[in-house]
Amino acid sequence: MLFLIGVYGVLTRRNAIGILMAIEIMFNSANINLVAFNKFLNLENSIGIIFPIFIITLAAAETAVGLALILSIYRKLKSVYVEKMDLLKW
Amino acid sequence: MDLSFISVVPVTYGIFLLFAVIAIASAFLVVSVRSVMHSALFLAVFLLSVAAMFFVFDADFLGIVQILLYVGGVIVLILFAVMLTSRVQSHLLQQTNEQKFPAIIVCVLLFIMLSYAILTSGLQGFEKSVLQGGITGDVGRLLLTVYVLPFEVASVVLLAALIGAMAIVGKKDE
Repeated sequence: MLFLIGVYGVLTRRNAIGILMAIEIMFNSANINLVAFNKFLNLENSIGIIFPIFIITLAAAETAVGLALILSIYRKLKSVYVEKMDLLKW
Repeated sequence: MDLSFISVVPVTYGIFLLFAVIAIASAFLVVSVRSVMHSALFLAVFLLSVAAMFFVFDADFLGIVQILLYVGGVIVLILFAVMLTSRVQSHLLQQTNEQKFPAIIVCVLLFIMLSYAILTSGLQGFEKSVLQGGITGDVGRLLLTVYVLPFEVASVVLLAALIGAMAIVGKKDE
């Protein structure tokens, strides 16, 4: 359910930073799922906790790189709205 | 009220439900308010409620990591980016593009697909889990013995992301 709210946000937000925030929602919903399964299924080696740790790490790194991209695009285009970023369209 | 069978599972389920409702409400507000600044603040509320859910699930180390990295790091980054890139624009500008209706259709279809997958996978209900007294020691041991390769690879990835972010944003001397 949270994952779907994230998908809806990615598909409809015009602001590029809003899209990044919706991606964060998706990451966190997957994390909750993994931790819940870890508690109620008693997996060996506690992988249901190790895997979300790496997900959090990689999601933070990816958000940082995404924000760097958005900032450099803003410098060029002076706008954060994704309708203006259409250089690759035919 | 018959309290003779009070076990851990129903009580924590109520607490989990409370934080789940807060999380769903704030996530919905993140994707639908008009101003990006409000969106970022609702994202902070969402991440805090997710951390609370981690604590309910006995993953205390993960909850603390979540608060440190996400709320303390990612939200700060997003707030910086929002403040650097928002000029004085009218708040009556629509924040959602005109593809709201197809997006709702896509989400409903995905919901049907996911719920079909979950309901037909044969999961039983709650089992009583082994209540450890917190997992920090176990996680530390596991990170350095069994999962040491992903640990080192993650540090290399972080280094690459750091250099990449600086290379993208750094100004050239012209």
